[in-house]
Amino acid sequence: MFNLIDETYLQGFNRCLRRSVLGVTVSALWAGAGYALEPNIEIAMKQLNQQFSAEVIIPGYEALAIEMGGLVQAAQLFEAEPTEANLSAVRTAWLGAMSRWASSNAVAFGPVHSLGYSTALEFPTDEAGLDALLANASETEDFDVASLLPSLQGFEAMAYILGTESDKAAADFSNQERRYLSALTLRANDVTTDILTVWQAGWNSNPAYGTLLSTAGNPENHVYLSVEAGSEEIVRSIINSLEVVSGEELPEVVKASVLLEETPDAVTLQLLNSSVQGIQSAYLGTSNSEANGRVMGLGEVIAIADPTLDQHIQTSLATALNGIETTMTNPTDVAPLAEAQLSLNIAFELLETEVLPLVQN
Amino acid sequence: MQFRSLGALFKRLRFTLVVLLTAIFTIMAGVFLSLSVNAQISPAAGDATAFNRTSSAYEEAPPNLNPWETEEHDLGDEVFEEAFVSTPNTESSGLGPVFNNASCVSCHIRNGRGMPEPGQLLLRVTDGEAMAHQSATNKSEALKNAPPVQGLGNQVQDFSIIGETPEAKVDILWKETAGAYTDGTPYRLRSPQINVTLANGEPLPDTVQVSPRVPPHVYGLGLLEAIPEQDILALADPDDRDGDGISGRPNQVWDEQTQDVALGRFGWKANSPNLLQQSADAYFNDMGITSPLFPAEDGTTEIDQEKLVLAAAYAQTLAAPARTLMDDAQVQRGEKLFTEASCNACHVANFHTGSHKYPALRNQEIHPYTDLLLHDMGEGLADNRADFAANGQEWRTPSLWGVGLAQTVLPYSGYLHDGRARTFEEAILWHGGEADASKVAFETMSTEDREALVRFLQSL
Repeated sequence: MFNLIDETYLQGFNRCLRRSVLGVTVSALWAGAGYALEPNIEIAMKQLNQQFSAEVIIPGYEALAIEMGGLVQAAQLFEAEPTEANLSAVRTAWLGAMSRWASSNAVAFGPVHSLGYSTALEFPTDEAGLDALLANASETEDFDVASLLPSLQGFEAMAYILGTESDKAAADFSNQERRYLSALTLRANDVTTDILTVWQAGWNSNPAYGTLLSTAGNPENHVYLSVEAGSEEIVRSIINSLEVVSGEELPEVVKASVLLEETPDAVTLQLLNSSVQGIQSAYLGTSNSEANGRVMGLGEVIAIADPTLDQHIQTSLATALNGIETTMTNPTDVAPLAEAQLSLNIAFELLETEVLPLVQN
Repeated sequence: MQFRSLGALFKRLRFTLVVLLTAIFTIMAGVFLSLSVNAQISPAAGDATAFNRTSSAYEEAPPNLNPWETEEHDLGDEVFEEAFVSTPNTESSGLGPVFNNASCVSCHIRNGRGMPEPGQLLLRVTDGEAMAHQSATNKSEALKNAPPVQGLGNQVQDFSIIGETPEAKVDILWKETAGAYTDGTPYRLRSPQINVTLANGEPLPDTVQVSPRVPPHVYGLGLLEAIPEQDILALADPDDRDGDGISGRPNQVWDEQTQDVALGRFGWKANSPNLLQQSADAYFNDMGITSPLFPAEDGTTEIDQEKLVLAAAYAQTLAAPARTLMDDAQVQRGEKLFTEASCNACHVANFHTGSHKYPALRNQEIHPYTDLLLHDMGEGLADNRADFAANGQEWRTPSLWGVGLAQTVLPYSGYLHDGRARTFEEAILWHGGEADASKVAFETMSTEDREALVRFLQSL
């Protein structure tokens, strides 16, 4: 049987087999050893950790601090002169600050939770408690907001007092409400300053939290024992934020729009947009502040291993933002919101199933 | 051209065969290399291990939950996050009138331990005078061994809803003391000095026994609940018959469901038999929320059984984080030193879980580093307050799995029951009583060995 086989054919077959085997060998070496010890990714992750707090997190909180400063001024002006124009300015400033806060949720880890800053800025309001507080307070009493429960302070308490343009005019505000509103903004401003201080300088003789992230994997670092752990923190923070936006916030708006035929309000859309912008900034390594450009972002780390994957995630985030922005310009057109949700789900899936294993190894 | 023989064909294919074998070997080597790197992260809780070494590590559900378990976990998560308010007629009504916090998650931030400051420290209190003349007729009260303080109960609630007055104001001052390792390296320890000012402006009477506590972590608790009781009791050695200086004993507590005595497992002094009762206790004492297990005097409740069960379900269905850097030589050396210093006599590494309501928790090899027993930890850590069978110097061995992530999840959080220890070194140096020999072993180690032992703890 074999004698009948043409040798030229066999020689070609052999050559082909040899090349294939060689290819398999090289691939195996790459896939086997490279999977575990991809040097370029390791270097890129280190660079990501080194730059991330200085280039993304801290500028984000600095932008929040600027907006918060504007909110304090607007609230104080409204307290002194309760005009419609000043009330409108407070509402605008509140949305500006709240938007920055929503953006920062994409990188919400570290001291923002442990030192109570996140609950001081965002916590469900105890409306009856707030009403009772304002009803019982004397005209001259200073409000010690820091000593009060989170349910009586922060953005949501401000929103409860501010009401909306359609249901509360400047003349409807009591002196107590205006005073308390001012006190709330001052407290929120202090909290923002404290967040920045902890990230930049530290707390109670402990090192700056930014340093702990940037030195992930150094022998003296007890918070992030490896470079991978630092990068995994960044990835998981983005994933957790995406999960909230794509799994809870956006579906609620879409559901209300489709089932209840409610037109989404401008504030909700703006905050959704800011949340997704924050996610995009964290992914790309931009600061979400126009002043700063792009540095080593998570996307660039991923691109080293799989440029298509990076492109896919970038496109999904951009598509989602585009969808939300389309509905912002025309709130009756909610179809783009559903598309945005779909895109965010894709980004979430890719980050969880493809990106996370990449940085964990 | 044609082949002349079968042998010629084999000759020509020999090279190919060699290359093929080389390729197979290389693939195997690559896979082995990959596995050895991945082996740095090893299961701590069998199939219920979470592979997450970040600030969200304690929030992971076990990956082996089935669909109905996942549903209960998710619903429990919502309940755990629910913020109670004073606003009447809402689903979250009922807060207070006095309380320590407004939601489970406010104390157990990201399911980690609480901080002494700012924030989550609470005070358990006992009327010491009443205790001296205790004549409880009620079996559960007699067993509890902690007569309540008039006007305070067994816990100081330092917040109130608007219009009501908090029971007291609590201030912490830290007292620092200096010490040195055998090699001369200095260290500083701190302990809290608690000042309580009652609502009437008076200080707390001297006869009141005060025990400051930070909220313990919440992850991995379902797996501890699934450890067979006999396996815990088998480790008890109350009379130190083996002569190793360590005499763990179980706490015997009151089970509100069965209305009978039960093994205590949870809480700093193991004063709670299970997570359902632990949850109900926290609702009642920390938030002022009544439940079917702890109803109001008139029998009414502010949360129903379903919500209570879901809150417990969340705590039960949280994974334990995987270890890291297991191939690291320093970590391995630290683990060896941990054993040599007999730390593992109380921080027991291995258990096999038995039955549990949730199948995902059953039959798992787990490494919690606790024996769930009470040990005399010496005067330095004593709160001098009894809690069921636990005396004023006894504490339940806290689990150590995931402890290396404590300050990743909650930066600046402390260790031990009141959060006094800022580092692992300080926590070890506070050990006394039955653990004194282990502490001395640590004190006499070289700097290099101390660092290795601490690195091992960080890898957990």
